[in-house]
Amino acid sequence: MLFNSFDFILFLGAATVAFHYTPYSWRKYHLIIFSYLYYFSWSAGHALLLFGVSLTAYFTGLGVERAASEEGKKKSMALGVLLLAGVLFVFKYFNDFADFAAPGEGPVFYRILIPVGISYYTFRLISYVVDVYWGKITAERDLAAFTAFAAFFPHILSGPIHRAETFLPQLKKAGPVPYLMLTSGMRLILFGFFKKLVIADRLGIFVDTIYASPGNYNSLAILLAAYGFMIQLYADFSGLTDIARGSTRLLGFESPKNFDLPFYAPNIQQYWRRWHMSLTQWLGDYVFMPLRMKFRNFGNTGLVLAILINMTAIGLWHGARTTYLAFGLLHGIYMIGSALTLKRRDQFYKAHPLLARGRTLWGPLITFHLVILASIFFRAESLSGAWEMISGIAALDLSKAGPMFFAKREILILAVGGVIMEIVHYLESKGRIRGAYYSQAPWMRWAVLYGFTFFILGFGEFNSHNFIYFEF
Amino acid sequence: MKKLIMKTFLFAAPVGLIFIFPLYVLSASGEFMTAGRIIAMQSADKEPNLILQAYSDPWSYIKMAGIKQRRPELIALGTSRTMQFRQAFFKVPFYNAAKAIDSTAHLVTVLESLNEKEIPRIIILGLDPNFFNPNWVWYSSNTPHAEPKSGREWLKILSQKWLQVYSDFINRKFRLKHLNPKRNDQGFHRTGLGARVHNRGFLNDGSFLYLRHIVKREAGPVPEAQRERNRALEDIREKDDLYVPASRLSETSLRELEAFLILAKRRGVHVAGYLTPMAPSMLEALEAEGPNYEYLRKITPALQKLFQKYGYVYEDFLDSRKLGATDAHFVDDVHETGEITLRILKRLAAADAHIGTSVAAPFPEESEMNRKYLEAAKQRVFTL
Amino acid sequence: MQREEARTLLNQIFRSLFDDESLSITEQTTAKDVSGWDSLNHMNLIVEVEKTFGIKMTTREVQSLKNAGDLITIITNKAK
Repeated sequence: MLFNSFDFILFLGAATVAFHYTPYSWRKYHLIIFSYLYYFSWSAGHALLLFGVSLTAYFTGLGVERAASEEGKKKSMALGVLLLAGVLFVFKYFNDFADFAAPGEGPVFYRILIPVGISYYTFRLISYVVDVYWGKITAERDLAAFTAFAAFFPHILSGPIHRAETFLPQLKKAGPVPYLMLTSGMRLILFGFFKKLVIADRLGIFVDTIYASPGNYNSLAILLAAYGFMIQLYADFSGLTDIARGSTRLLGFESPKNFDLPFYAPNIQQYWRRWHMSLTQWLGDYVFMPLRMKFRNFGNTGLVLAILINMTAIGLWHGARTTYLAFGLLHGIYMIGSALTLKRRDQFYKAHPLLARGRTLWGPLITFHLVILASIFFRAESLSGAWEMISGIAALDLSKAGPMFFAKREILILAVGGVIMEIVHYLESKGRIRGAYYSQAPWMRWAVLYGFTFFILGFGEFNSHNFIYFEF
Repeated sequence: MKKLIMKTFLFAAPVGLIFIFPLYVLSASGEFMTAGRIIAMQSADKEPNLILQAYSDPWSYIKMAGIKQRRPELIALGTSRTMQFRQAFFKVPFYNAAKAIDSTAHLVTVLESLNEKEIPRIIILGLDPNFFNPNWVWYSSNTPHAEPKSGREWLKILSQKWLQVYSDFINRKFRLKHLNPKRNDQGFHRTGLGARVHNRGFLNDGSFLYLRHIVKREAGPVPEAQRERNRALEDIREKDDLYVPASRLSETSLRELEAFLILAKRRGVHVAGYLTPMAPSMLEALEAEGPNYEYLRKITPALQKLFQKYGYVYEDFLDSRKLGATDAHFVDDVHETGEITLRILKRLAAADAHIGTSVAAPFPEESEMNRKYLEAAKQRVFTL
Repeated sequence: MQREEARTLLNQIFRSLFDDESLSITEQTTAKDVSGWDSLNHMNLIVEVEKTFGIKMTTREVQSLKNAGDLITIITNKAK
């Protein structure tokens, strides 16, 4: 069941109502049942894998805690992490490596269907094991609660990566789901669908056309497609996250944010603190930080190495493709460049206060464009495809077909939708959304909700189904 | 919770109400008929069907499924310009698979999706000139021949088109009378608003019938046809869409076509290709543009060589004047009526033995064909 | 080592590392309160602390730091 399907809405409704009538101590069973039901709708075999992986993490956690010596703890943790990462590696990257080893061939039995959400749940579980090892949380003894945590269905498809540290306590809480939480969850879902159906899927048509054969289009069209993809990805993924977080709220949980006005970040370090936040925080805590600790006595070389490995990991997390690798490396270079020169830049602007005011403008602009450049690699089918896009823009060639095959009506819908989206994002970021919403009279609130609903129903692009981040 | 459920229903009620009218319109007019049912209707019904839906276009899938189900010996393949070949023209089992492709890109896919039992022996391949225009941009939003998920298709159509149904009704594009099945069965069993409002649609053999055009033509020039040609002339002036200027041929399309010919040869399929015709006034307008459409002159030499390389026949019918056509033989700028198709077929039959032995004997008469349709427009039952 | 002594020395480190002579950290100071104290600079801080106080910290300890006070605790526990 994809998120944007009628079936899912029905399923979510049933889960919400059932949850309300479930006795508090049985809630974990409710979540297990519904989560595995949801997972079965994708594939029964992989549900077994999910359970197996959950058990591994569960027992490893207990093992780490029960081990008497530091040595023992470390061994248990390492074993658990290796097993979990190993499973992820095999199931996720096998196809990519098979492609690499024998390109173009691929007899059917070589290809394994990538288990849905494997990148997300293995990351969740690895963080659990390591957190137990670090003493941040105590190992969970309740197998049912743990299974519910691992399989929690709103987060299965594409995160956010919700760690045990904040999830399990919420699960143990006994109390009714507040009415306001239910309605805010529904609003969040509505907004998520708005972003996905009105903006992302619509932009996708334009972006896909141009990325498919950039050679047919002029530089303006290619440039717009490059911008368009980033906005599409943003609307798509933040929409998905909103649907996930909204669904989570319907079940009484609060899950972490994934985005915080990323395109207005003043530098690339800030950007990564605002884009796909649950993933970058995960990598920061479990990859970057430990690496930094290891390399801390190597000065800047250590920093550079840690950044490179971390950003490459971000790239490859999306898949073992050269384009993802290029994407990661490019961001690694950006980060290194920015990290090593930040102090000097700050000093420069301190000395030139007039220019410092301009910095608030071009800081985000430059960062945004760096991101766009890397995103071309992210989106392209191949390195040569990415190069086609880039050279197409650089050629400044206006002789070929332009972007105008995209109807004016579509552009208008995108513009209006985009503005609405960013206004809401801005209010959310400042924490003012709830105040702004509830300060309106009831009829106004319903008008806003109807506005969004009819906008979605009237202008939603119901054709395509793919969430870009779903394949991870 | 009860409060929330009630409030949700209260909220959803007006939303639901909005959908009632489009739901009624779409279901009563046959717009929701699934591809599966259409295929079944076309194979089983003795009653002549005229099927054309206005709010969806599942024909790429239907045509592929049609080939697989019927396993015809001969098919016509191409875009909507190749839709006029009918079973009556042939003495072997025939199916018109036009609209299974919309460019050269999916040619190979068509062959690859057919197994040994399903693949036809002969393919009449209609090639549109713009296939070979490197500046012509065509976006195929669906994966070719994608099977619509049955059972949920109606919901998808409803959610996509509900607003358009309202606006079309307000603009008088259709009337309530079109929703009444009984009033729409004169001569043909009409399914879909396209068939009911415009009196045109797909026949059981996969071919397409412009019934209204044929009936109206008896009384004189058809204004809608001229309007369409004017629109195309406008496109030529604006250098837009199908009429983007080009001076060379598209390498990609040639490669895709050759891949198709190679595969056909390997699988023992005989292909007869032809360049689809345009209305005479269109061609005159293009010729007046001269060097802007240089690529048009280059198509035949290139395709002639390509087809000969594999022992296949290719004919150039772009200039319909050579077939004795006038604008009256076209429903718009590029779609001909059946007479022209017959003339094309006659020449193909003469040039290609495979075709020659497959056409009906005696060869159908144009006037006879039209008479049958004009009668059908009045009768209750008609056998083709 | 006593807490106050550790805090003073730590403050020196902060001042020179984050280029701000006016900094005065307290037990509750967190990364949000100091401009430039981000995850990339965090390690520089740890390295300086280890060098200055002659101690070695583990990843686990670094992970569990929530504010300057935690850091001071570790310093006072480990430094001689």
